[in-house]
Amino acid sequence: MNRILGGGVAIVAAYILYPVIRFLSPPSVALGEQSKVFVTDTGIMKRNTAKYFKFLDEPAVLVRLPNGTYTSLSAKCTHLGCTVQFRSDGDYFHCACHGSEFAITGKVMRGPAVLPLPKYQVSVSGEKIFVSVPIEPA
Amino acid sequence: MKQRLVGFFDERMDLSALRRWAKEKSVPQHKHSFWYYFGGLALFLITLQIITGILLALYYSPNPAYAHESVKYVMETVKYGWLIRSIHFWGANFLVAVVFIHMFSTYFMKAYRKPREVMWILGVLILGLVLAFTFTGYLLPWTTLSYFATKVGVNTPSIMPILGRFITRIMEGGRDVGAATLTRMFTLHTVILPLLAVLLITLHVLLSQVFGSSVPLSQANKREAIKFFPNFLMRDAAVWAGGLAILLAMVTMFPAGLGPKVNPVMPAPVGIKPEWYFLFVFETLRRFPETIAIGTITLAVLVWLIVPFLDRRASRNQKSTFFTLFGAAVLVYMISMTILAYLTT
Repeated sequence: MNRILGGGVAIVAAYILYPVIRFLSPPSVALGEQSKVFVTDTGIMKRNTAKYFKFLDEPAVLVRLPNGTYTSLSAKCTHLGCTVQFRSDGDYFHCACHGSEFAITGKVMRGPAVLPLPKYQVSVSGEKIFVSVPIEPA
Repeated sequence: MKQRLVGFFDERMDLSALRRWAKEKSVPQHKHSFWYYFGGLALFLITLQIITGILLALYYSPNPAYAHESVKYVMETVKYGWLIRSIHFWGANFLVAVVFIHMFSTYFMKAYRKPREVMWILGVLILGLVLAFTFTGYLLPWTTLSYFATKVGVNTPSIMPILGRFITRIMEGGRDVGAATLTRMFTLHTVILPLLAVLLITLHVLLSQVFGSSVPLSQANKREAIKFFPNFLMRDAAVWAGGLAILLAMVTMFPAGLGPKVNPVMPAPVGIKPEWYFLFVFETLRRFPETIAIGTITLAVLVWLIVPFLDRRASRNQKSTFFTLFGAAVLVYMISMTILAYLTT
């Protein structure tokens, strides 16, 4: 009898808790319109500089390399989420929170981070520079 | 008048048991009695935090567009706003320090031994709550430092297998720290954590009344005691007054500052580091892979929580050198990592 009662209480608790837990977790946002964003016009950024912007609800960075081409990566440190800083003195990214460093390709140069920064696709249309969804991990 | 008032309640609730308890309650006196005052001081500081917190909530706006401005308004325009916020700021720092001292002193006096196991667990949970209060309150001014500290904090559980990402998502309320996170931290700081704190602190204080103050094993043969009413309470009040005086001195000499408003797109500034009480965690995360760092800290916290059940010798009122050394090792680790963090960042 006690087991039946206990089981009943557990079922009622689950009935109450399940919707509460689902309510706490925010619904996923459709990324359709966000999957490609305009960042800046060509010719605005100097060589060896970076521009930060919001992409897929997270910080991202567009870098104009010394050879004039562009590259874009997620700026969210893969260690614990701080926004990494572009260091023009050595063409790498530094995370001020725990000291991780990433190459311009996104590859980890120094821990504690172990995963690379995801790389994004850069496309130039006329005089406008767009960044789109990740093509592959660096 | 006083007698009529007491008579009114006595007639309806029979206060004789309460009077008897107040008359009989005593506090042991020995060479370590000094540490008893930190429990009362923590309670006093919590009261101060509740009062100043309620006052600050009257002006605060939990929205990224206005959060920083509302705190700035309190600091610069509202009469005595700087004072109320500075008391809340320094009060939080003092509270963490006092609760840590209270915990380590009860640990080394082995006050967790039978029959006070549950009291110890409640105490450790209250320390966790105090740290949760500081963490959730930290984001509210919406400054660069508070933003990145919260980012690290909410991303830390994500390394845990299975539930980690889910916990981070619940704390963030979205894909990254933003408006939803601010609302959630505000709700936690002003509604959920206070409710939990009232519950746990009430139980903790209630049990301390049931069991009385624990006497260290080395002082077990001492039989001296003083009456709680009014002797110990008066001394307690003197400690509170002293604590308040030091707090107000800090408030007036070093009023709480307000860092620059965060631009969530820009990178974390160089030299960023958390408040002193999280520095040992920060340094551990810097020096070790996050799985090892968080795994070890979690394990140490769990051992700390159930130490009354592991330290069987203390429960039998025997010396337990191993657990004394364990506590000392934890303390030395925390202090040395904190110093390292100060020296290397």
